[in-house]
Amino acid sequence: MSATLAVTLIGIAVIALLGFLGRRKATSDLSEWTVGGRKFGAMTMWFLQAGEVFTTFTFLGMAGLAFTGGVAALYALPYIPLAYVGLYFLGPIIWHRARERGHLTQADFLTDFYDSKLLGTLTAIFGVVFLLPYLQLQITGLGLAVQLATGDTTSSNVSIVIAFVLVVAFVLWAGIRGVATTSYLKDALMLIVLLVLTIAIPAHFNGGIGATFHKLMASHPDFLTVHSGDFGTGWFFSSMIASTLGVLFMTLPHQWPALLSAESPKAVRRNYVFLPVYSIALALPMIIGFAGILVLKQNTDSNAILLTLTQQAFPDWFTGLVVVGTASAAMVPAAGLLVGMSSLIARNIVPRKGERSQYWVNQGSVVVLTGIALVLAIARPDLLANLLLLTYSGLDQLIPAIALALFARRMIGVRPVLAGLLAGEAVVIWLTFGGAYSGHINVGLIALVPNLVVIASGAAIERAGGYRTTEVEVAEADEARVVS
Amino acid sequence: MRPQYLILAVPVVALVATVFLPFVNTATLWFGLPSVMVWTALWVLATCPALCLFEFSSRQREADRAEALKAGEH
Repeated sequence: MSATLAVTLIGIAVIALLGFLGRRKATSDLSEWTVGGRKFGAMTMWFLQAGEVFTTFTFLGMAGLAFTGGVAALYALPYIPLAYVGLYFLGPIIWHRARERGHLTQADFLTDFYDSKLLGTLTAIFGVVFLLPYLQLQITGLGLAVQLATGDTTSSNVSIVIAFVLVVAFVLWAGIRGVATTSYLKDALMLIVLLVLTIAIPAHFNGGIGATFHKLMASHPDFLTVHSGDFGTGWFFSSMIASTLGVLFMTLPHQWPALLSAESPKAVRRNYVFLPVYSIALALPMIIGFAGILVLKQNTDSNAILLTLTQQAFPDWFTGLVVVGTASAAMVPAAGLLVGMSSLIARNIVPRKGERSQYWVNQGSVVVLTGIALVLAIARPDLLANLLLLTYSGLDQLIPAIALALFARRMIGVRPVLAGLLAGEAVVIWLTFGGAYSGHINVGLIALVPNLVVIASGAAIERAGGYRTTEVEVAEADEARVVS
Repeated sequence: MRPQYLILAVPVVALVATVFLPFVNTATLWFGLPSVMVWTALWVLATCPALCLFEFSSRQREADRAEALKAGEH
């Protein structure tokens, strides 16, 4: 066994051990398992939400995107802080209502506001279907890292099976508390590894960060501007806006447990004040990608840039440490995804038959979802790849439904909202797979237009038919809002 | 409108406009780094003090106190 693989396996075991240690007490209460009994302070919330920022995509993918698209990769830097500015005000509203009404999931929130189980079930199904390829992405990201570092497919498959069996085990055992305790190690490890790589790789190959960019300025100035083409101005702007709106309106179902686990609105707000500072770290893997432009051939696999440069510049044991960083960036977000997805299945898709059976449906869902993602990642890695194209654009279609549900009054009935959602999803699928669109504007943003037009038309028809704005029960919960 | 909102709008507008500002979206280096990178990083950092103006205001403190009292009653 190589030093790289040994360090990787030890690291995976340590991450899982921390996950197991997260559990406080034995429970079959889904609220305790999913949102930690809503008792997390600002510090735990910080790590939970910061954990969502750094996944294998940001660790490996950001370096790759800078390698292929240059500064266009920087669209990823502002969208989370922009969304957090809005969430500073919206987060406490969601938190208050969810606490008073007992919501654990995004679909709970929508079901309650629109008084429609159908809408809740449909959004839960969309959530699970669109997040499944994202779960698989974490698995394949870890597999890719081990394969690149060891040059061995068997080691890669063994590592991802071990890692994700352990993820299932600690998620079943500790729920969101396990995600929180592993997040501490993950964020510390990733920051240290990234800082070392960001300083050492440009220094090793190009004479430093400054020298890297001066050489790029002389040889590849196009990489220093956002211009036309695949990663042009339209792509940059629309990707940034679509991603901002998606995060701002909590369209990703796994955002909800992290927010709802807060002990107070103050803990929610404090995170949104300070998390933008942390998101600056996203620029670090991009700098490594820029260094790669000067060193590696243009046809190098973009996802392999960071690890290829690491292998060339560092000894095996340190490469192993970088792979552990990648493993943590796969395992911790995957655990968060599982908490979000399984609670959707247990509470909003499978009919409820009591609290205890709901808990066991949830636990079974964790195993089944990971099993599907793991088998597909190994046997048919490309099967879900196309579905991944729909993940963000598809979930963005929930923006109108969630935005309207943030008001204390139901101004539009459930039918227009449902019709708009279905219209938006249909347009996303058509534009993505229909071959009718080859532009660079974000598909999710385009599909929001028919989504909103259908909702507005439906609302107009409702009003003509005598629909009145409804004062819903949630209004009382909304009295306690953030100061404005 | 409270002045804090106007202050918060500055980094938001600056970030959204990044790609359309010719002096930012150009092949030049500021402090040895691409101008787009420096611009976005600085305005991302600026969102933190802008939000602190809300978070650490006396109005927010009073609201938190009222919230804590209400929670205590329950």
